[in-house]
Amino acid sequence: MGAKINSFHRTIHRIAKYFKKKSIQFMLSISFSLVALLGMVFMGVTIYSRSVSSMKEMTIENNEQLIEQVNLNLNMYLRNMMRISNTTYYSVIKRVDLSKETLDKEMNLLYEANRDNLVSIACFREKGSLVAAAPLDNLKRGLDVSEQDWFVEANREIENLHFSTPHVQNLFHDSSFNYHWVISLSRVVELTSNGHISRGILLVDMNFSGIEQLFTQVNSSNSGYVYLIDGNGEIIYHPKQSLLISKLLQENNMPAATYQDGTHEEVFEGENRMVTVRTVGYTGWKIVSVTKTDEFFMSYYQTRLFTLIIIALTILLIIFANQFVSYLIGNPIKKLDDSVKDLEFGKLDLNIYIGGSYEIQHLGRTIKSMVQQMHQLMDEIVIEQEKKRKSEFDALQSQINPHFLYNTLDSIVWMVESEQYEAATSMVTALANLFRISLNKGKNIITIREEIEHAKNYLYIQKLRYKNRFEVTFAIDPEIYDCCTIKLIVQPLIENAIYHGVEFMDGDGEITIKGYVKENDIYIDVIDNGLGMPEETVKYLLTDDTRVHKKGSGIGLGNIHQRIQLYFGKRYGLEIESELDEGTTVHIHLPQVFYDNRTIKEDEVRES
Amino acid sequence: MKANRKFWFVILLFLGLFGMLFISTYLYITDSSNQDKNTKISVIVYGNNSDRWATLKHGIDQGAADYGAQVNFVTMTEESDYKEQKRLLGREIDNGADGIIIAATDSNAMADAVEKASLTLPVVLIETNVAGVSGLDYLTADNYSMGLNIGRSVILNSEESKKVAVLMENRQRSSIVERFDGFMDSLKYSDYEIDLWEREEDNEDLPQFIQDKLAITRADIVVALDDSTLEAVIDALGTYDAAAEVYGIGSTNKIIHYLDYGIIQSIVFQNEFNMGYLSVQELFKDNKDKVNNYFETEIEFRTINRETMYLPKNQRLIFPIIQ
Repeated sequence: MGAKINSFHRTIHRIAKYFKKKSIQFMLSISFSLVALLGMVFMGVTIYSRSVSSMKEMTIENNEQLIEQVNLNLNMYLRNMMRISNTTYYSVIKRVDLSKETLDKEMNLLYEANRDNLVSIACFREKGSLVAAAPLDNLKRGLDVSEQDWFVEANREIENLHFSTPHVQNLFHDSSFNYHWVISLSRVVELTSNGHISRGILLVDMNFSGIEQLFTQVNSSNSGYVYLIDGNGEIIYHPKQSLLISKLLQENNMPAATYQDGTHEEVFEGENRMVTVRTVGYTGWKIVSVTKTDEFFMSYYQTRLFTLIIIALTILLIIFANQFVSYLIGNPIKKLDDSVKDLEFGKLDLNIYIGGSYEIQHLGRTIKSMVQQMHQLMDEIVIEQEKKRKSEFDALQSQINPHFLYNTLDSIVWMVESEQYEAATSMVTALANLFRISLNKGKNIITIREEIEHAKNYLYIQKLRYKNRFEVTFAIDPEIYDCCTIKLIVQPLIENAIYHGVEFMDGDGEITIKGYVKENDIYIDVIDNGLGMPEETVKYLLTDDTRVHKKGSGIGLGNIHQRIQLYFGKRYGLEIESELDEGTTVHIHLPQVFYDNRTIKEDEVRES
Repeated sequence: MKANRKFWFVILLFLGLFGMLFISTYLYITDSSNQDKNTKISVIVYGNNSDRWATLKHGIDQGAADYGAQVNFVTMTEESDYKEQKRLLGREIDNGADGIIIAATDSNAMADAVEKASLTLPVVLIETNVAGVSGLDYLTADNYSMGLNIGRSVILNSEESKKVAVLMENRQRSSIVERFDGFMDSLKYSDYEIDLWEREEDNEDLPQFIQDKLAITRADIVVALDDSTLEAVIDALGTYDAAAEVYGIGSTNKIIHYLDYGIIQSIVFQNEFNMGYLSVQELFKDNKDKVNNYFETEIEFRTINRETMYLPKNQRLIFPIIQ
């Protein structure tokens, strides 16, 4: 059981997997078609089974109605016979004393009044001799009436009326070759003759063609047929009576005689048939309606075929329509997908497909604008990178400012000449350190410790050159030493402070360098108590390099500001506070990122 | 744009196909529902008395109704004229009959015409065979046995000293010859004096001939081997008032009537309703299956007299129920 469920799950999974790989158009058309197909099959089966059963019910109902109609007509026929018989008996025979008068006149009158289906009325004595008859009254020569069935039957049960099965009337002399198939109604009557009562037999012969006509009308319709049997199953009327007599055809009449009234199903000669039976009053005869079930279905065969073909064609059409609809829906998606695929493969001059329904158009437009934005961003990145390289190059180049180098080397020469060897050595060492850090194996990101070291080396050289005309104070929070910075940002600021701040002061110039953490960011402040700047100068200091008078290493504040922003983002950079005659404070604003030699790569430091 | 056009093309193609299928199905169904009644059957019988063939016609009509055919029933102007029958056969074929049922008036003279006809369309022979043509459907009662049975009736009802006259009519038909052989064989070991009555000329009035013969030979028993001859005997005896016992083969209304009235002692008759119905059936079997399996079908016959004719099983056969 578990294995079965498992394998079922696996199959489902496999199918799901299979369909996941298929295009949306395929999925749509398959699922639409399947749903339509299932719906149609379900509907078809339901309607078909419903209509078959209702058709069957209808046929049964029709048969029963038909039989009821036949029964009514047959009853009328039989009652007519009984009426004639009764009238003859009670109004004629009972009132006539045969010794005084005959029955002939009255009988002839009765015959004339009912001649439609009536063949003859005849009255016989107990031994078989004729009392009276109409319209003919000459019996055939040598005829023994008392042996005929109707006579025997009437005598057997004297209080009853007896209906015979159809037979050829064999009573009267008729010189034309006419023979009548008749149904006989015979009964025992009392004949009065001279006050004596004796037994007689009254015979009313009705034409069988009356019954025949009655049934022929009913049997003219195509489906099924109706026949008539007596209580013993002997056939009275059958639409193919001649064939039955000649044994060219068989009928299931004997079992039908045992059926109760109502509809029965039977198998006869390998055919399924629906048989409806109705017993006729007075006689015990049975009307039997037969519908061959196969024939009944066969008559619907063509309709069924037609319906089937229409269903098949409709299914075809639906599948086709589904294909069309799924094409309409799926194709724009596919085209969009193709565009995106192209995009994936890096095709640049891309025209994103816009089409299909509103949603897909919207999607296309969005993707298009995204791509445009991406292109723009990519261009910006390229420009930025270009700027970065250029600014770094500028920074590097400025380190080997020939003027500074010349002055420094001049100072060293001067020291050597004045035999200050120790100072000269320190100077050369400091210079060497200065260059080591500024080159720093081409790395742009260094620790703050290194950057401060660099600044200190620079200050050492400058202090020697300016003969300690200013004081420098370092107040660096030790916890920031191992954080990242880009190189060559503190030194140029110090240089600026010297050249623009304290150079022109007499003596006590002070430069303070503070490093601290504020709100999770690192700030390095370079503070001087020099001349300060007017506000307008501060404004363009960071944006417009060209307007700054260059001195020293020549790295402008703009360059530093730009580089910080390129590496760490627009939030960071330089902030300048300056007041004339009071001094200038430059804040370097950096993110607090710890330096890790292995993982940190230049661009990753940058925050977006 | 190109793909789109292709797409529409395919759609139109499918719609066209759909329409064609629909129309053809519709046509098929309306066509198949009224394809019947196209088969035309011609029934050519000998004799000019249509009453003679009433039961056969009834059987054929029933068969035609069951199998869906149109029937053209053709009688002749003369009792036996093979030239006329040939002409009628030719006419019916020319008129587009799809099948022929024929009671040949002359087994030899009709052979060629029937054989020729059977090459182009199915032919069923009834009652009388044609000479020298094999492979034709032939429906008949056992004529020899019918003759035999009429002879036995004679033996059962009459003393052996009586004189029996046999009418030698229509001997150009194989059925009559067979009946005659059967009759003669049945009396082979009896002491009846048998007189064969044969007209010298065909146009001699038959009832008159019989009356003349009766007057001369004083025959006690007259035997006729077919309907028309038996009716002629009745006509002859009508004015002669039953001076002779009559036996015969046949079952027209007239014959039945005179059997009922005791003029005819006993008759043998074949079930012609069956003969008619089965001949149509045979024709259709042939039409539909076209297998070379021709056969002779034997039709039932009965011997009845005045007492047995009203038995239910007999009255149903001799009095056609539909009139």
